[in-house]
Amino acid sequence: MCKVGDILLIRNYIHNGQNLKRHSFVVLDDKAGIIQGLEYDLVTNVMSSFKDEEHRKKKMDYSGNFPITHDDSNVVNGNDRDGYIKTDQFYYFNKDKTDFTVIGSLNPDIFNLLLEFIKDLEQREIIIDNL
Amino acid sequence: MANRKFRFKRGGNRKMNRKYNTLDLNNLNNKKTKIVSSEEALKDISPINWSKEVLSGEKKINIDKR
Repeated sequence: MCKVGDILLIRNYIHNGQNLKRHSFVVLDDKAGIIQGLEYDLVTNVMSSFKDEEHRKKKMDYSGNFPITHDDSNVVNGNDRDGYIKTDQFYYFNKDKTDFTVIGSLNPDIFNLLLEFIKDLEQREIIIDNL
Repeated sequence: MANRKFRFKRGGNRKMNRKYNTLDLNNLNNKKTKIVSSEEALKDISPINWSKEVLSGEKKINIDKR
């Protein structure tokens, strides 16, 4: 089971019969709810790495991306590469239908900063095709 | 959407916060919303290549403010 602040690796991310690789997500909320008439019990943001310096500059210029970099954060057991959390996309899941593993967590200090960041967003995209 | 440059504030000797705040769903639901497919949303995302130890569950990742 997972809780708020956990980092999940979702193994069965399949869309239209295609496996969309193993993506990592941060749990923002784990309470049950309904969105667009569909039940969910997990709200997450996806994590991404930077491919190179040019990719980093491009992504960090975008206001919806929350940095996870060596300058600002300690990543214990990470892969020594910087990345970001894409905060303007909200992925909704149903725990029972999702094959995931908890691979780590964000500490409360950084998680709470993430929520502050989200609060200031002007728009959002929602992904509900996993429900 | 306005551009936001984000930098963490250094923590110094400030006491660490050990409580997770709650996602404000009312605030979230009031934002302009667009439904997109997983395929569309993930097209620009580069999955993080975690170590074998993390993938096997032997080690856990922990991300904290520097």
